[in-house]
Amino acid sequence: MKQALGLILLLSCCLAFAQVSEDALLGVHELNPQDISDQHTDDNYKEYEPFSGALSVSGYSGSTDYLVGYLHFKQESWLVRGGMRLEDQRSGNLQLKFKDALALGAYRPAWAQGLVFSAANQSPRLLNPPHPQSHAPLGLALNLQYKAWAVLAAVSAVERDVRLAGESISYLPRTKGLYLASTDERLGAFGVVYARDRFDVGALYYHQSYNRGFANTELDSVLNMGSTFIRLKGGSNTVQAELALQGGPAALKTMWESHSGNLHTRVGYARIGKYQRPAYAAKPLLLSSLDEREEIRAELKYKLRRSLSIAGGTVLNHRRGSLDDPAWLAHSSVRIAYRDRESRFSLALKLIDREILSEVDSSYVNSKPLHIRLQLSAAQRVHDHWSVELNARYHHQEKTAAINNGSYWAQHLVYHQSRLKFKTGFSVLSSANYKMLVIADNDLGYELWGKSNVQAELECAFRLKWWHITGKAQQELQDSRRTKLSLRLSSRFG
Amino acid sequence: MIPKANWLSINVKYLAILLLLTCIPLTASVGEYSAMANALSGITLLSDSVADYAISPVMAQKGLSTFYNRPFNSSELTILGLHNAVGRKNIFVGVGTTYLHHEDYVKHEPYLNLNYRFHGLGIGATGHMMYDSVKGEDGEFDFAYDLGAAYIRGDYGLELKLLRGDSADEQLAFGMKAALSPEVTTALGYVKEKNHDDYFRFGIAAELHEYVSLYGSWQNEPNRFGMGVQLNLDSWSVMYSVRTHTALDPTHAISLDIYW
Repeated sequence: MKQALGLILLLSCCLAFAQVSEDALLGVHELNPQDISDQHTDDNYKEYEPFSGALSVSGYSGSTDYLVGYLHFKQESWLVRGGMRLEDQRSGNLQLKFKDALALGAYRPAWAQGLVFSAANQSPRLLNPPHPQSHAPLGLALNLQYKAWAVLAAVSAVERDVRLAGESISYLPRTKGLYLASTDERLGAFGVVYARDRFDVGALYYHQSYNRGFANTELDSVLNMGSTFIRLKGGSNTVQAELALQGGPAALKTMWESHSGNLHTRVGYARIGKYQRPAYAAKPLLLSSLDEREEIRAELKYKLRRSLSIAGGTVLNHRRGSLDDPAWLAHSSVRIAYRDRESRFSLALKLIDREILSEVDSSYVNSKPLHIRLQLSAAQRVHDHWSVELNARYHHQEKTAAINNGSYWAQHLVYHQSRLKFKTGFSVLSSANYKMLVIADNDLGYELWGKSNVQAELECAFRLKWWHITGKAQQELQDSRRTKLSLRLSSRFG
Repeated sequence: MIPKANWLSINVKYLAILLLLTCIPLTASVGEYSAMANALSGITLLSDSVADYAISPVMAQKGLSTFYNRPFNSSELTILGLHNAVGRKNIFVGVGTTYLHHEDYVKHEPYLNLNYRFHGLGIGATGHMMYDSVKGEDGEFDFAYDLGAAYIRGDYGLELKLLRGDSADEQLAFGMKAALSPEVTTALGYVKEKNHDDYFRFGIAAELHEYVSLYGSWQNEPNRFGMGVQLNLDSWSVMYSVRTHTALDPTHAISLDIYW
């Protein structure tokens, strides 16, 4: 009753308050740290795009001290982009690109639905280098087009961090860190695409090899696979499918997408058999990293008014090949968002089924315990130069023997002029046992909070011609020795 | 084996903490922490502080308020609050949080309020989330709601509030106010609590000067007096207040309010 009333109250607030920072159909993004940091880095580069040059250096001091720098230089069709992070060790990614046709250095190919490389959802592309700590193919990539034909080719050789079990690979981390061992990774790919107005078809061959075997005998150190895709376009509808073959039954991903007036819908189906995820492929299913699964997803977004939209979606995941009859597990989300010149507001609710495999003799254990996540974000301009902001999350997760829950609450007061921005406020994480990932304005784009904490925050940003300087201080109120400082200096020109 | 002297001092310390923590709900089951609430014994009909959205769902005020409260003059307990409210036409939305900190105990209470005011008639509702934790463990969440209605006509008004509904702290409060002169407004209230004795309260607000206002209050069960002084400067104010207790030291509070 009380929770229901709370939800009603929160929902009713949207009538007066007001934004949405995410355009994804499924309201609450489930926060995969590496995806967030790569997306955050990509956003940085997109900000630099209109300029012929940009440099940025950020220093962070706190539980760990590190420096991060990014550069972007554009000269006619040539583009250099890269980032470096200096901590206990040095890690970075640098790319030289000619148009969208050639990339040298760290690159990220995007192909079809993401069963081989990153997802493209349109023509094959070469994406920006990822976050400096993320592993990426290193070598040469080509994306050449001639009339209706296109070719995507990539070769990469990189020494990659690895965690060993004996002499075999037990885990291939996706981010660079302090690991004791490494392995040589070689990969190559060649694909051809034929594109017409109404349809695209393409096929790609992919090879990947490591100089060590995997501890998991189901994974091969040498992987050869093929991928083929088709995309049909008609009016406001697009249907696409990708089929990946690794010797056994094919992995299949399909998607139908439609834009019709104020309604945007997506329906997808994926069926993954025995599938070894290639080193830089997107996650094949939203709800599971395991193979032998199938997944159905349906999403829609509807603009009720110019400033008001509602979005919802559900994803159903099912284990295949089991003698028992495994249940379909679901993630369902709904989000309402409002934005105008004065206000922004977004409220998202996510319900998650999580299977608990528990054999308890006499007591009843629910195999689908309640797991909800509520996220609220709002801001309102209260004066010409002043605005207030609120960000809050509440996660409630029942487990077999305990309830795992946590909340995050942050309130800020912001002063902004054309050249000056000043922000102050505080954030509180209330949790006894819940680790919560919170979107943050730092190098990684997120912060992991693991225990109850209260911190006061002060941020000041100043812009002068090409230069932009931002200083930020965060002080934990429960422990005066815990202070986090950051300073960012950036310049854009041309 | 703990030496007897140490054992006694540890117990005295924990008893003192326990007494302080238990006194907070005993003296006022719904926390009245802002300087204004402290001076007025929680009579929100006389309050213009946005922080009092925490104890009234029908404030219909816009602005920002932050306060520091030192309950019973204890150096070991700190209560901080940050509250703000915005409005569009006749609709007001208030958000805020109160944070109580002790070395061994933490309580955090954020809320969201929506209220509507039309021709003096106001209705509102607030959802509260309450979290408390002892020594960083045993953290528990609970939820409660406030409902309220008010009618304000010039210097006169009535207010009916149900605070922390469905919780152990549930409180039903009725209040009315009337102006004795253009500078002096008084209010009378009756409070019925689920787990405590009912009590009356009386409050007065006097505008001494363009920049200075005085506030005072009294309540029975237990007998407590509150008093505060507010400095008003354009669109912001600073207020200090003190509130007595029959058995414990007085509670001090200071607030900074900005109105928009």
